[in-house]
Amino acid sequence: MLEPLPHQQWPHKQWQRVSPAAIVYFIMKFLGQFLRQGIQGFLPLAAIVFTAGENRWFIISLVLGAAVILLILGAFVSYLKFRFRITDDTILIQSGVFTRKRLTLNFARIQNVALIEPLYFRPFGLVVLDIESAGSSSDEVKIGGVARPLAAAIRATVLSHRQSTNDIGEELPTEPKKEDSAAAKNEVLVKHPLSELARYGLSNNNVWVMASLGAALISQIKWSRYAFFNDFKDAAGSAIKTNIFTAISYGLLSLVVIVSILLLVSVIGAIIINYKYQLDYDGKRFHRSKGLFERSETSLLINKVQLLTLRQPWPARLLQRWHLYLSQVSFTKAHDVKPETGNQSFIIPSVTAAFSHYFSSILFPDFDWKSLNLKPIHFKYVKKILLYIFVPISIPPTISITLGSGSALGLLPLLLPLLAAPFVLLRWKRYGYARDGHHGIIRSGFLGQKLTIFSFYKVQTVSVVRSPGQRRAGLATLHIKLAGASLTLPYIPLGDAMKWHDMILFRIENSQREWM
Amino acid sequence: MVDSISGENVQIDADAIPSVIDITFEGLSENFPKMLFLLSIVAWLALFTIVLGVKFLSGDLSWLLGQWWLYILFIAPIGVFYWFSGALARSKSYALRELDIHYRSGLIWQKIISLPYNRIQHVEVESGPVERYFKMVSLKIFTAGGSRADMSIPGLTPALASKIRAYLIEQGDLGEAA
Repeated sequence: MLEPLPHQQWPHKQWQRVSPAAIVYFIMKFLGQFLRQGIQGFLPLAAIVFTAGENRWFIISLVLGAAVILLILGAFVSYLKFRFRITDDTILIQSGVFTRKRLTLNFARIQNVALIEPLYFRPFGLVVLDIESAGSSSDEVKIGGVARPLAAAIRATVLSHRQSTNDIGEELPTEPKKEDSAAAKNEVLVKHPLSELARYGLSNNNVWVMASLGAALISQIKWSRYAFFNDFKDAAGSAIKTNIFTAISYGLLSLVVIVSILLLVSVIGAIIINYKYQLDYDGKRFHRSKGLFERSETSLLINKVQLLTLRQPWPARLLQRWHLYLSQVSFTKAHDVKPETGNQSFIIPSVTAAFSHYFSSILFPDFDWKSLNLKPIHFKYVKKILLYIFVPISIPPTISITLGSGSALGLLPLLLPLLAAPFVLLRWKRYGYARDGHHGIIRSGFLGQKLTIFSFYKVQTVSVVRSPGQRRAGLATLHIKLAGASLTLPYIPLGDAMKWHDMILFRIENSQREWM
Repeated sequence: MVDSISGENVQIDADAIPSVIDITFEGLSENFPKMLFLLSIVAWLALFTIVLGVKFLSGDLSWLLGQWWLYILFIAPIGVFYWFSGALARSKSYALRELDIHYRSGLIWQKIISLPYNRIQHVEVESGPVERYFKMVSLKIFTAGGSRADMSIPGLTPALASKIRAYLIEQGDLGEAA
């Protein structure tokens, strides 16, 4: 299926349309856009609902009917106006109803091509061709409604084109030979059964992040406005008065129920997103397929990987699993690592420590970081964080409460740095760093841990910052910027920071290889 | 098998690698502290005007304007500004080596950032109205990933900035792309 098509055999060198079934794709796209940014357009409709009186249902159905017709019409015209054409080394796309858009994508600038198969395309054997290019994010291109074989051929051609222009020295395969790809070893790295996906659902942090957001939202609601809440409060109050143990056990029970529901949601989500997760490696690129409702197939050239992050959130520690993140070049926001959305981070969920090492050895064959001793950062880090962050935070409430109430209770916020101390200590202890002449590894984390591994030659910029305190103590903070991530090593000896700095520059400047 | 990520693997003596510590940095244009001084006075004047304006709207201003210490309060910090502008300008300096560019900045948090030529994506020369008045420009250098400039060197004369820019483009082999 990954057979690149010989250029002479391109079936369509002419402008062509996508399949008519793509109308559904355009409808979904418009609906998605509308939900994301246009929902306030419904406000007038809401106003009608509340003010129209007798005729309201008639008006609503009229408006909705018009909207539906408009939507279908718009999708149909969009389908008519959307054309693409593939030449020997470019993809050309024409789109837009009112404002025409013409886009030329050179194969050489294409970062990645993914095939996404939404549920509604499955009966037709169609896919969405998702093309990521090295440019601004607005250059991201999706062609919805392409027949699967053609999409696969386009992808293979684009990827092989990149490959052949990258491998200087190898003879350019003008006509890809069949034996080649057949002989290429194809190793199945990961094939996840449902149980492993469930494990991923239990051990990733996403659900807790969502839960805390939800809690923040819930706390914003003025519950006392609602009758049921007051009833509940009264009932709970009387229950506590009558039988404290029953009340406590009910409280615990409801906590357990809430946590179980959250975990269940997380597991179901993990299974839906990563259903039949499979990761292959053919010696040049990784190939991943996953998804229940929307199957996605993504290829990633090994040379494109900027850094490898091994993450172990605290639940994953209990389950003895790691989640691996492969960072690619991100052209919009360098710091924004959104889990599971977009193609920026390529996640390999729920693998063992042994596999993590093996995988790391594929990316960094000469880097045996297991045998390295990670150096700790300086203890001054703890002192600085407590003294310059937590103490200042605790002072204003102390002053305001003490002055306001006049009681000694107001001094309680001063305990904050003490309470924070164990956590800061934990964070300090997690930090560790080591390097050889070509690679670096940085460990960080808090309750869980995170190992970041990268090649020096892929770094973009490196900087050293020193505060007055660090200057006195001979320490420094090292910042390493890669395309796709920024790494920080706080409070390391100045000598180490400068050695890393100089060594990284040396490697970048003496490397002739493509970093992207 | 792909060639290993680390490629050629010659033993390197870490101490033999040229160090950033040994670089001699070059200062910015002599107009740069002047600009900082002017900007700080303008900002101070604006702050003072706002405070006086609020006072004026909420009551009588004549008493306040008759106080001698008001004028001391206004003039005293200007000496500090003068010193601070000079110190801040002196803290910023840059250096070009054969293969990379370095920029040092910061009075309290002192920072050295280094950027190799072969990672430059594009280079911009920018100047605001105040900068133009002082005949200075800022040089902004971008690498991949991230929307902001990775290195921004202010206070360069236009001639010098375009010379550096041309050099960077040549070294970074950017051709017409930059």
